[in-house]
Amino acid sequence: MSNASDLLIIGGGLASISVIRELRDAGDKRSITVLTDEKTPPYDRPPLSKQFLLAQMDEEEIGIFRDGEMASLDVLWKQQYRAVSLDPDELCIGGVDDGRAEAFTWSAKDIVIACGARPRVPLGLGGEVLTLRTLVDARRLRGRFSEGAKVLIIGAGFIGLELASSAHEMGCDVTVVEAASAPLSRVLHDRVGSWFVDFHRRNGVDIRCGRMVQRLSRQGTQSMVEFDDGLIQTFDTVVAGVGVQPVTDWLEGSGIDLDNGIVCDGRGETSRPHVWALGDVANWPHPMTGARERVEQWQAAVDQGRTVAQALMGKSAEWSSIPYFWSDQHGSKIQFAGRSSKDVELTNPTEDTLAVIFCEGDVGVGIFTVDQPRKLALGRRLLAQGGDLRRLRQLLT
Amino acid sequence: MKIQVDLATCKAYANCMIEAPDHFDFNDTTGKVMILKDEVEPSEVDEVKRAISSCPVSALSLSD
Repeated sequence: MSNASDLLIIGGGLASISVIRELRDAGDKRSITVLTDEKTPPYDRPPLSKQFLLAQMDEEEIGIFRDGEMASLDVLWKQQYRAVSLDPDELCIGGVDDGRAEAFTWSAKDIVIACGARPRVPLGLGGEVLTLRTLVDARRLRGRFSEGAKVLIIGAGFIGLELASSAHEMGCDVTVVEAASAPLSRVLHDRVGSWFVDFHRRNGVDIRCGRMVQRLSRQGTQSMVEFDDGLIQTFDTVVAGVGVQPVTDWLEGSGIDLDNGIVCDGRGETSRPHVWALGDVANWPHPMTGARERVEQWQAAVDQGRTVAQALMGKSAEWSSIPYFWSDQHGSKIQFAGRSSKDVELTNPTEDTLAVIFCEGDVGVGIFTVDQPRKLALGRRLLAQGGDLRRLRQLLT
Repeated sequence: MKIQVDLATCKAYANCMIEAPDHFDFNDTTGKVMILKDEVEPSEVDEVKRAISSCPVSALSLSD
């Protein structure tokens, strides 16, 4: 079965939808097809570790499309269509319609790849280690985070800490184990990480840093866990939040450059013309440093989507917005804009709030706040205007 | 066009304030968005639409 569209998008998440919305908003009428291997309409991921898990939002409410929006965008949306190969010369995708167990090919004038990332699973541990990435995962965790359940979270990154907060709110007895000396160390500074240890402990979560799981084994419905200090404990549920890896195995040998994801220029075009990539699968030049990075942020998916759409329409485009993300933990709003650095200034840290400026020499390059959304918003603007350190200090103190 | 907000849904991320500061501000008292101007001129539509889609909880929308 062979098919063709003007634009073919692989992946049905936020990044893909951002491209489509920007094109249609600009009045672009090209034919668009989305191929996604998922079985459900597109949903937003951030609520999966928070509001959806806590049953504050249901599946319909986490849907990305507003009422009637999908129809008005005039997109052909193919669920359970799994892409397995790319021919960048013919601009053609080969895949399988998992619904009918039939092969298909689809060609286009432009192909946009936004197939995302999948969770890493700690290897060789044994037992049952759950992860959270998809709606299916979240539905499963809803059942496993029951009142009184003993939960172990492996990894104190943002996913791990949000899961810990949600599980605690759901009445679980929560332990978090982190190999690094402080939480969030990959993304933030150690001094910020140590504030988080106190913050979570105050809120009833046992966080253990500089500690690893050695071995796991099933004991009936529970997991017996052996830590690297010799301690052995039993848990009802073990979940790992130890990072994600880009879904690029299907592109090996296709001819597009791969290096920590699909390598793209500042507009989202890959090493082959008319093949584009964005979101969690893609490695773009960072808007503030130009250094290559695969940015796993909700806001990046939105902004890169706009950039790719502009480039598809032949307009000059470059991803230049200040990176931004947020996290909700124990009812507190944690926000970050810019980028981290080795030098930090913690202004007025209290038990409940924190404001941090990341600097390089006499320039502010990033800010981090807890429960200070207005300051973060104003600070983001200062960063976009060059990061005047004196004004950032005035703002956050 | 007019901006509509669902205040119950607003979670004070203030993304809208960044994208369209002439239309959105943050109300320190209520801890929610403050709509400075709900009318959107044709020249302002792009900026306001970006602000609306930047809301992580979809608390904002535009009506004719």
